[in-house]
Amino acid sequence: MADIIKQLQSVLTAEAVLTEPGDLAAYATDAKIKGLPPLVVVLPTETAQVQAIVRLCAQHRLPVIPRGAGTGTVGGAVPEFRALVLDLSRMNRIRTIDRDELLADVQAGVLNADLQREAQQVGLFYPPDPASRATSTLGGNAATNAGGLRAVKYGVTADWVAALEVVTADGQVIHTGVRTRKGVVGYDLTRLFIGSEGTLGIITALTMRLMPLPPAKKTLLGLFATLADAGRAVMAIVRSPIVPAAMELLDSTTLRAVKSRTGDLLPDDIALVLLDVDGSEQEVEQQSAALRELLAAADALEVRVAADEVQADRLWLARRSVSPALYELRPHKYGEDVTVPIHHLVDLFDGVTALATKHRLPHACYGHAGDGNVHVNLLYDPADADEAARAKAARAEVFRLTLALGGTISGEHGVGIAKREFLPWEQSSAMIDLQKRLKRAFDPLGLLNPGKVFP
Amino acid sequence: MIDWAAELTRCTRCGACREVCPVFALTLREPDVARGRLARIEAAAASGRFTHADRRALTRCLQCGRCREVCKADVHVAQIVRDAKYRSGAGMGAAQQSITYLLADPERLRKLTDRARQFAVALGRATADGSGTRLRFAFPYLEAGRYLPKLPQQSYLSRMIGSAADGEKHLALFLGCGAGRIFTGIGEALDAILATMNLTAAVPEQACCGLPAWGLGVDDAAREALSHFLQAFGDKAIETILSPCASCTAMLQQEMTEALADTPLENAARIVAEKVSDVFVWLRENDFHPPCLSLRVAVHVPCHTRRGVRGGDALTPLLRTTGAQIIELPAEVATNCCGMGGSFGVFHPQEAQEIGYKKMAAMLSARPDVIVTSCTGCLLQLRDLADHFGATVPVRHGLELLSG
Repeated sequence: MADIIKQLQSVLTAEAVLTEPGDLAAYATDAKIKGLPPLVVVLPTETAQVQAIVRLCAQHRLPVIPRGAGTGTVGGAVPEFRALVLDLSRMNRIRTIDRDELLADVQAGVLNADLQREAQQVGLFYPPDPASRATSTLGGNAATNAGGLRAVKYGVTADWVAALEVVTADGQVIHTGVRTRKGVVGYDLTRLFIGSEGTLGIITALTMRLMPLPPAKKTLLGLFATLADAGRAVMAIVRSPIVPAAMELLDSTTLRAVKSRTGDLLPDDIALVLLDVDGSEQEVEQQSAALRELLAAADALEVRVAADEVQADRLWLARRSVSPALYELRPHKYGEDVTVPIHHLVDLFDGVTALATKHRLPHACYGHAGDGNVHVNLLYDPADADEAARAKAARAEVFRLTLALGGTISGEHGVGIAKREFLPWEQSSAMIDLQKRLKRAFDPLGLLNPGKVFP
Repeated sequence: MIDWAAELTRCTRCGACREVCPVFALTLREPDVARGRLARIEAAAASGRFTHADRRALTRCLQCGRCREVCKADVHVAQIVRDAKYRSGAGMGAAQQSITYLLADPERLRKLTDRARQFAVALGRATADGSGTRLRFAFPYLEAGRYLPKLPQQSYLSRMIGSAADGEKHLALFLGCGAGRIFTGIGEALDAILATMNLTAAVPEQACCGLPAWGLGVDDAAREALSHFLQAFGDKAIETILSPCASCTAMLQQEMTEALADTPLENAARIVAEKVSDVFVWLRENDFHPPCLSLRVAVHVPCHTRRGVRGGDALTPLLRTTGAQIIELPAEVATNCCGMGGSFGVFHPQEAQEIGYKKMAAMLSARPDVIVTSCTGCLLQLRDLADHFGATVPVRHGLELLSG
C-alpha cells in the first residue's frame, strides 16, 4: 500500500497524489450517488502519466476509476470499494482547432463549455450541450455519451467524436477512429468506448467534430390546454420538414412545481412546448413562421415568440427552473432519464402521473420531447421511510412502463451503479453475456471501473 | 448557529461550484471547491472530530461567496465553512487567532499598530510606490517578501477619536482597523466630502468590527469586538453609522446579529445593524455631488460589497457621475476575489497572489490612471499585487477619489 503511493508520487508529484482522508471524502460522490472514499486520488496532466498509473495499478491489482468533473448522476465515477480515482480535470488543454477540417483536438479534461467558447471565437460550433456543460468534461461526456437539449437536431456526444486516444488496461495508448469525414476500416471502437463508462479503457484525448456556427436563433413557446394537445403538436412538428434545435415539453404538474419561480409568467393548468430554431436569418424567420402555424393548427391556446435574447431567456426560465425548484418540494428525488418513441410521449407522461398518484408522491415530468427523452422526477424525503419505499417502488414501475412503451431506461445519464440491477429488464442475457466477454477482452484483470454497468 | 444537517443535505452535489471557485480554478482539486469542502465537513461532523488536516483545509476557502451565486440550492457555503472553523476549535493558526483578540479592544489595537510600525520599518524594504515595505526575512507566519503597509506616525483614529458631530444627521464614523489605523487618507477624504455637505461625523472610541475573528471562527474575540462596538455606537442619538470598508459593513450589517444571537446584546445588535450604512450607498442617497474627474479608473468591487453590503456597489455609479471612464473588465475576472479572502491571504500567501494576478493583470492591461476599491483588505492586497507587477499606478480607496 505505502509502496504504490510512493511509486505514484514518483510518477506524478506528491501534490498530485491525494491520500488525506478529508481530501478523499471529496471523491466519494458524483452529482447523485454516494459511495466510499477511494484509497488514493491521482491528478495527472499527461497521457504518459495515465499510462504509468494504469501499469502500477495492474501491478498492484488496484481498481482504477476514471473521473471527469464528477457531474454524472448514476455513480459511474463513484468508488464502492478500495480503488484509485483517476481525476482527469488537469488534462484540460485544447491542443488545436482545425478550421479547414472542422476538428478540435482536446485533452479529456477540457470542459464542454470551454470548447464551445473557443469554437465560437473562430465562427465554429460544438453542439452537444448537457445541462452540466459549464463544468463537465468532454472525456466524461464521451464516457457517458452525454446528450442535451440540442440532441433533437444535432445528436449526442457520439455524433461529434471523430477519434479517441485511449489508455488500455495494460497501459498502452491506442488511437481509434479517423480524422477524415468517412472511415470504415476495422471495427468502430470509437463508438464502443463512447458510453462505456470507463469500463473498457481510459479516454485521455479526443478529436471532436465541429460545424459552422448558425448565425441566428429564435425561441418560441406554445401553451396548450391539455397534455394530449401538446403531444399532438409535438408529433405535427416531428412530421413536418422543420427540425427545431430544441423541443421541450413540460406538463401542468411540473409547471405548478415551478410556480414559485416563474410567477405570473405562465397560466395554471396548461402544458407547454418550448422550441428553439436556428440557422441563417432567413431560415430562422421561415421556420418560426411555419412553427407558429403548426402550433396554432394544433389548438395552442397561445403562441409566444421571443423578440430578443432577453425575452428568449425569460421563456426558457420555466424549463431551467424545474430542477432547482423541485428540491423545494422534497429534499431528495429520483431523476430518471427514460426515453420512449416520440409518439408515446403522452402515454409516458400520463402513465407516470398515474403511478405517482397511486404511490402518493410529488412528481414532475419534463424533457426533450424532440427526441423522446423525458426527465421523470419522483420526489421523496429520505427521513420518511414509507415515502422513500414508495418512491423506490414507483421508480421501478417507471422503468417497466418505459420498456412496455418500447423505450430505454436511460437516454443520456448511463447505467453506472444506479441502474445496473435493471439492465436485464431491457437486455437479454445473451446481450449481457456478450458485453461481459467484450469487457474481459479489453480488461482481463477486471481493474477498469469494475462493478459498473453490469448487475 | 447553522443547522448543519439541513444545510449539508441541501447541497445536491451538482458540482456547479466548480465553474466559479477561484481556489479551485488554481488547483483543480475537488477538495478545494464547495462540494468537496462540504463532503469533508460532513465526514468530520459524522466522526465528531476535525483533524489538523481538516482545520488546515478549512483555511483554503476564501469565504468569498462566489459559489453561492451559482448554487441552485442556495447553500451558504462561506457560512458553513466559518461555522466549521469555530466548531473545529483553536489550533489552526494560533498566532492569527491571538491577533484577533488584540484587534478586539481599542487600547490593545493601538499598541499593536505601534509595535507593527516599528517592526515594519526596522525589518522591511520600501516598495517602489512607497506605499509600504516588504519583509527582508521570514518570521513565524510571515514569509520573506510579505507586503506590509506603511503605518502612519499618527493614525486617523488617534487624531480624531472622541470628536463629536454637528449638523443634523447625527452621523458617527466607524473606520475599522484599515481606515482607522493604517490608511489615514480615507478618513481625511470623508471629512472633506462631509465638509462640502456642511456635515461632520462623530468618531467614537473604536477597535475592530470583529470580522477577522468571526471569519476564523474565534467567536469569543468577535463578540468582544462587537460588544465594544455596540457600547460606543449604541447611543440613541446616533442615526447613521458610516462605514468606509465593505468588509466591516458586511460584518456589522449581516453577521453581527448572528454572532450575538442568544446573548444579551442580540437586541441592541439588531437595532444598531440597521443604522450601519456603506459610505457610498449613503452618499448616493444623500445627494452628494462628486467633483469632475477625467481619469481612467479600474474598479475592484469587493466580494463583501457584491454579496454582503446593503445597497450593493454604489461606488461605481458615483464614479460614473464624475465623468471618469470606468474600465470594463473581462467577464471571467470582473467578479473575482482579489485573493485576500481575509485569512486566506495570511495562510496561503502564494495562492492568494496567484488568484489576484489574473485580475490585476486584466486591470493593468487596460492602462488605468488609478485603481480603486472600497475595502481596506482588498486595498492591501491590490497594492501588493500592483507592486509585484512593478506598476506604480496608485491604488486608492474610493473616498480618496471622490474627495477630489
